[in-house]
Amino acid sequence: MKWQYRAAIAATLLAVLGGCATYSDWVGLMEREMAAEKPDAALEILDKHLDGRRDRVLYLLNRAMLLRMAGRFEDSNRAFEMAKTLIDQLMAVSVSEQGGAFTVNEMMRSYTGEPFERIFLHVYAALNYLELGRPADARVEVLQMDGLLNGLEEKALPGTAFARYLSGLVYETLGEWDDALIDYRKAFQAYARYPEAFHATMPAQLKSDLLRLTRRVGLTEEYADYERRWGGLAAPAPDDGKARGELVFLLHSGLAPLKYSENVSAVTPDGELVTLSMPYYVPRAVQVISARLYENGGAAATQMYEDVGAIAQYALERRKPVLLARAIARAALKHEATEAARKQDDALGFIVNMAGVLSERADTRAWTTLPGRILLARMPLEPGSHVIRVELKDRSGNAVAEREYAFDLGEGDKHFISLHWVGGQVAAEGRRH
Amino acid sequence: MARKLMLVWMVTAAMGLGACATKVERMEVEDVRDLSGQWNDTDSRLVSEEMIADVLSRPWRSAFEQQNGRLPTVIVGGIRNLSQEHINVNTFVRDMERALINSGQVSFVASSEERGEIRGERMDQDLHAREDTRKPMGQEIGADFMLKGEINTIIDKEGKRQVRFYQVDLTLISLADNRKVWVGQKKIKKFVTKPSLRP
Repeated sequence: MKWQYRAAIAATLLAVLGGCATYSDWVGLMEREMAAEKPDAALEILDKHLDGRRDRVLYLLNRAMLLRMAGRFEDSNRAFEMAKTLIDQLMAVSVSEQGGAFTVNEMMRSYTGEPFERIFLHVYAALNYLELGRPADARVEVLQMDGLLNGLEEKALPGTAFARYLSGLVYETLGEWDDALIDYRKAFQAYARYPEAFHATMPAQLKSDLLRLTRRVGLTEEYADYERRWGGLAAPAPDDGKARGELVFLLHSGLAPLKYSENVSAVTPDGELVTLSMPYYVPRAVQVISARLYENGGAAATQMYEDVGAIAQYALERRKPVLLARAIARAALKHEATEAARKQDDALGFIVNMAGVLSERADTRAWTTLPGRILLARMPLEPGSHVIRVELKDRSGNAVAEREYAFDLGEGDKHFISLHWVGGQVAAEGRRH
Repeated sequence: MARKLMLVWMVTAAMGLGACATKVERMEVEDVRDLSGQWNDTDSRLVSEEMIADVLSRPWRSAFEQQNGRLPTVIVGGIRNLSQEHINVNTFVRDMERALINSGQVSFVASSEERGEIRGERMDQDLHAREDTRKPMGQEIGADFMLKGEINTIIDKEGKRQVRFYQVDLTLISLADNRKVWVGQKKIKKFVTKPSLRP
């Protein structure tokens, strides 16, 4: 076979392979159901399609998220618990999978989640418990998450700020002021480290929480320091015991970015095709970027707490050198195999080469039912029955949808409400790029 | 020859199938089998054994009896789980309850979660039950002591190795004057090594 022919075949292959997303059409279908607020239908699609042995953790994470959207918090936490156990087992390095990942592609590895995804596992498990009215169980999740957060904070990786804030919130719900203050401080440090590109800058709410708690536990010097720093901020009303309650409203807007595989190929002078695959994220548009809460007279607005899309991209950028090194090592191995086959037979060499190229794919698995952004609003309320109206707003400030929530609030209680809003266009838009 | 081949095939098939079947092995409740290093039935049993032996051998009970001329009544209050695991505290609390009631030296009243249903039933009886079988309201026995407690953990981790330390504290508090009449404590420590390789 002449090398021109080979190059032609290789070029055709490249055209076919270029920019292939591993997630197939069923993800689009699932996300359409999510956007239509039919999590049960989405769950059916997920159950039917994602059943690979190595994708088990991914399946459980997505399943837990969809169950949560359907308001089945207990079932959701059961799935999260299974995912935790499995991740724990998979943390041991698999000999066979490692071999596969080194010689074939990264998808041969069992999925254990990105470090930031493992944080969000605990975040959403804790939120499930909070929405079930079981803050003591949420506290367990917070403790489990603490070790992981310390690890990320040491490496200065993003994705810890909201998790720390939520930890503080859980402690505050339980009346453990010291621990709450510690986590609010860590959240403060994490937000301060976030690059400008992240849409989540320091939430003003966190500042007033720090002021409130330092005053409460009597750290007058720290309080004075914060007050000096944020001079313009209105000092929070002094704590009047446990009289008032609070509504904590969380908006989980949009969806986490999809991962794609990008191929870089070259044809060597003797006609061999060499391909390197690297993953990259395509951010998705988030339809709803804020919400306002109303109750006769009173109002509150959400603030941005975490930009999941930005975190995902940042984490991948930090990991790219490692992934590239592995891809190069794999290409070298595949080249060796091609050479060895070619020595026996020229055609066989070509087949081995093509097999190597065709199998080269970046790991495009990601927990995509995570929201794109997390927003939160805290609204102090008198004890008693409440009906809160929530207005969701898009980028240009137009109201996209409205929701109403009725609940009873006990003295000093915190009531947690979550709304997942995927948004109509998002699912379809993110599919092709 | 064909028969021989058939035999070989059947044996192989049987061996293959054997590996697939679910295996069940009965165990004694006392048998210790640690799988993940997390809190398990053995820990719960160790705690209840220790606590029961301790609570029954201490003088709080006889002191109360001497003073009041009747058996003390206990109510189970909150057992706080401050550990890093979702631990079911009911197992050892129920063990303790059972041991104390059966010893005939202590009586228990329903806890705040349990009594809601009882009260509902009593209310229902008031409407629907025959008069001679109707249970009147306001006849509940007030508890003398409340059993409270907490579980704490300290986990020290380095790579694949970790030391898990559990401490369970139970306290019996007199409802009349907030006196702590008994404090029980059980500590459990485990060294767990996780595998670094799997097939």
